[in-house]
Amino acid sequence: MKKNHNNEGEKNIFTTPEKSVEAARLQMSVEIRDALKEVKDGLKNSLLNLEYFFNFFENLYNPGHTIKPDKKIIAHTCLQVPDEFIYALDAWPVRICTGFSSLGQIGSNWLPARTCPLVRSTLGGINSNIFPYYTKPNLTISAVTCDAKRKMGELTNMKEDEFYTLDFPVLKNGETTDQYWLQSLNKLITQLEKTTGKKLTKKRLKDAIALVNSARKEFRRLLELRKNPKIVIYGTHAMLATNSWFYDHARQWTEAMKSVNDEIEALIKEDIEIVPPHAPRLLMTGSPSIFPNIKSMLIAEQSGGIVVADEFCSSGRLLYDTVAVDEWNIYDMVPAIADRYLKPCLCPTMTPNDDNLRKLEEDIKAYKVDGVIYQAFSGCMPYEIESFKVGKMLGKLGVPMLYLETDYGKEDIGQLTTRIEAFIESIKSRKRNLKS
Amino acid sequence: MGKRFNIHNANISRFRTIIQLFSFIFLVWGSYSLIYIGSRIPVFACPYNDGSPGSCFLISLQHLLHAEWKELLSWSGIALLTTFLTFIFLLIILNKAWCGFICPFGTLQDWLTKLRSYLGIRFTRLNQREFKRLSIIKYLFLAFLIVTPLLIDNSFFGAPKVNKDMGAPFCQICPARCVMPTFTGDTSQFAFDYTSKTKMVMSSIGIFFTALFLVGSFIKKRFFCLICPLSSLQYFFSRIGLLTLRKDGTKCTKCGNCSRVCDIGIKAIEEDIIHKNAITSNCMMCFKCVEACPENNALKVSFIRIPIFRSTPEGFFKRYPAGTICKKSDENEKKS
Repeated sequence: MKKNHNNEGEKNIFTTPEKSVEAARLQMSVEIRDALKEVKDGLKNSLLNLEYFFNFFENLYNPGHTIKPDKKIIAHTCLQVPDEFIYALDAWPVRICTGFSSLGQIGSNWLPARTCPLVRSTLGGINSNIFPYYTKPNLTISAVTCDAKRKMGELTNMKEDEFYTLDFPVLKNGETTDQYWLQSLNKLITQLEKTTGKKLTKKRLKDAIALVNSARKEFRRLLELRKNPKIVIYGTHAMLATNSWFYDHARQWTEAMKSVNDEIEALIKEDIEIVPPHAPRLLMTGSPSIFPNIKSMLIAEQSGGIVVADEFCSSGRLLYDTVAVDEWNIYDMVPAIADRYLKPCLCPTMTPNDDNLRKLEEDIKAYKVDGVIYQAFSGCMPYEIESFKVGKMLGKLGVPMLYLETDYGKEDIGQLTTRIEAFIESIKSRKRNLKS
Repeated sequence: MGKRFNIHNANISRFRTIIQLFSFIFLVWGSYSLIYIGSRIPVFACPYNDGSPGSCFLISLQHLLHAEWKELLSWSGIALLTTFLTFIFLLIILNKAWCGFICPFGTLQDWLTKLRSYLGIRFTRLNQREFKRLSIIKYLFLAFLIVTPLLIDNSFFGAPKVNKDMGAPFCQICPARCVMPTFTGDTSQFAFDYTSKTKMVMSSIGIFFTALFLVGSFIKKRFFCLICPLSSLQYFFSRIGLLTLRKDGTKCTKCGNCSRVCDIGIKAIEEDIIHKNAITSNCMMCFKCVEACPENNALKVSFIRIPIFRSTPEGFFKRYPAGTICKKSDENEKKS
């Protein structure tokens, strides 16, 4: 599980040269600016309270970030890493998965070009020392979900005590898996305690659960409001807002999300809609879009569709599940958290994963979805494989699905636009035909 | 709608604790206020306890079965029938909620659990194999308490009859016989009975089971309910109960919250997404699972098909602490 980097020379092969880092930084700032411009200007009628999230992303990779953490930073690369433990140990969890195409190019130095761009760009970020808030994390946790992430740990320039590979089961078959995962998490707690120098106590963990649960409460409220037939928030905006959970502190994020929800609620009461009522209601699922890689959703919404829900592990699934504890002692809280991060997991790396299909079916009913866009990153095996089952299930339901294979690059934007526009047009005519 | 909705968001565990306290007081010391509620109570209202205002159905059943065949098939069989019908009638109203809300023996176990939790001692979780094996015991107990009294006066296929001292055999080994009278100051049930060999054996088994009960329910929540023969008898009629617990599998995300908070440790409530009826043989209908479910309408408690309590995300976040921010904002809302 641990890497053997004994001499300095070996470590250097995993470090990006200073020149490339500078170039990447410049490219990143362009990517951030472009994405935010598209999000703000390309989609009209943005909510006022979303400004917090836009500013947040603008400043995220800025050395003088306004809300710089003053605590130890624990980075991780998967939503299956429990944030509760990190908050309980008085540290700041940051998920360092990125969507930068420029970092992906750097990552290709160590990973094959056919690897999923998400892992490539995350590795590129780690090895070029580019992190959110401009701060190197005290510990980076990588959960071994897919193959690319499993091998990523061996290719970083981090020292042994800076990088932790978290064992993650691949089967969802009840007790054996649960026990395995619980033991894996217990080991993680030991490592976290070592890094932070704090001890996990009953009170701290309870507070942390409450803190994250409060964020989940706001998130679920957002989902509930998006189920409304009147649409006042773009899917892209909602996704960005949720996406900022990766980097933001739970308390600030919840506060900001609450104000967004309040605004949505007020607008719904005033009978305001931002898109025509017959706009095709879309659901997006598949490989996760992470800022600034939001192109497919953006195109869908700029072409007249409206994304009412998404099933990405970077937004729709991120904060959905909850923690319920029976006895508020460490011995019950830790397994409760472990359960939350394993049992309802819908990651396609897990098998059996029929729960994913059931959830999609429920979502389609709840959000009155007209069509599904399935995004798979080229090289993201699990999602590419899963698309078959999803397509079959949607076929049975009679819901059209568009399968997109895409990348972080901008080369395919033209092609994507044509395909998505055609898809949305076909849904529109279908809706018209159904009405008449 | 508004008022109803608040009920769904309520903390039913708190309500249950209060009901349990009152029914415990009533079923343990009730007879001192000269109340008698009959001998068909479907909970462990132990008649060995002087304070009990009624008696457990199991003892009545064992006594009535202690008869010859011809007696049972004659007019005196009617007594057995009416006893049984009264029991079923009482059972149908509350279904297995008798266990979760009324049974004083169950309440006692909940209090032991609270004590353990307060002391910070961890509990044991049975694995599925142990759970299944233990669940069979209650049916064996039930068979034992039905067949043995019949064998006292009747001979099956010429086999020798069972000793007369085996009357009410389950009561002799039931831990409630030892434990419940202590609440009215009677500790005599803890004594070994030396009157005959049979009684000696039975009373020592009884004391052994009492010790097992105390230790077991201290480390495993509701340990005795897993092996309670009354629970198995109730389960036979739970399908016709007016109080129901139903699950909508399509809404379930299998997050495991329900089975996590389940005192008995039932896994089926989480894993089964096909069957609508969520009551299993071990269920005591405490509705903690409904409280812990964050999905709208996934779990629903109804009385004669009228939903009285169902799972809601709002209720979930009310019962499980959702941070300081939300508390503050709630206060602000109240002020404004």
